[in-house]
Amino acid sequence: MTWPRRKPNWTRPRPWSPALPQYFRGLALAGLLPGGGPSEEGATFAVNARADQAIADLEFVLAARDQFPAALLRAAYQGLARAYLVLGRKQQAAETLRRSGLGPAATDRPSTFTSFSMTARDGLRLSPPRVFTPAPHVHVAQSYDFGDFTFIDTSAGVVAIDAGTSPDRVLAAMADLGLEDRAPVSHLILTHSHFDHIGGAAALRGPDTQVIAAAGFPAEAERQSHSSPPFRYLIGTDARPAFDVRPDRLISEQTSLVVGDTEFVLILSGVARRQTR
Amino acid sequence: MVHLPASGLLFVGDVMMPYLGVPFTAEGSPEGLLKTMRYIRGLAPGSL
Repeated sequence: MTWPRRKPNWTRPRPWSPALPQYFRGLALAGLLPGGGPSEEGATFAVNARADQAIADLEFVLAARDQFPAALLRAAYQGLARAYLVLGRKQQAAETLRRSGLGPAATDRPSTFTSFSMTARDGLRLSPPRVFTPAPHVHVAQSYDFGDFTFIDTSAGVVAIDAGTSPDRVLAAMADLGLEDRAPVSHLILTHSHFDHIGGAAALRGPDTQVIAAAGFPAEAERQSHSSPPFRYLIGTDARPAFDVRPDRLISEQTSLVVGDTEFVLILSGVARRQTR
Repeated sequence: MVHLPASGLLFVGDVMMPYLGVPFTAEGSPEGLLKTMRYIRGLAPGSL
């Protein structure tokens, strides 16, 4: 008996990223480069060629970064920064290291394969910073801060969900999303009063912004204002959080909010519902 | 939480944190978490 030969199904999603070979080759080549940049004698032809190929590979990988687990991306940024540095492209190296979240000396260290990072300046980040669009006009900024936040571009203005810890981080995400001229936003919805969800509100709020939160928000925010982050470097030394955020509208039951062409249903979770009583 | 019915997205704040596990028990309760999870399952969002 012979088994029928199956035709390959090219339309079936592939379980691996097509950029995976470039990922491994780029990291391997970057690993052969000097970590501290070009030597005093200058880089050899072979070193430059490795750096060029590592840059081509890792730029390709990062262009397809949505296909990679977040834990693998730090090493890609790290290797790319090392290659830039070898070729004397210091500004690109610095920007790439910023995106890695690993700190300015990371090109000198072994490749880091973890989604977490912590530096004194940035604090704890759960993955490399990235933006993605899970649905049309919905933009999520992940790990520009300890907390994530989202922008929904409606036909009547931008609605933000949460505001991170610090205004500068919110603005950095908006710049990467091409939304830098869209602040202040139309509405800011705060899911709750933790510092990493409200601290950057000043970057989003203007005189016409409607800030919306659950009815229990003011009392909870007052309690939160008396506590500090659990350890010094959780939010980073660069963070400038504002804790005194006063909503314009408080909701005490499930509420439909329509902004332009988009409906938002605001739902009270168990904690928020209890706090409104 | 914020639900966008048209796109099937649900923003859950700190109700669920994929990196750090369950929320802060001191500010909520295990029963409240389970109740909220049941609610979310009933809502059947496409993505959290």
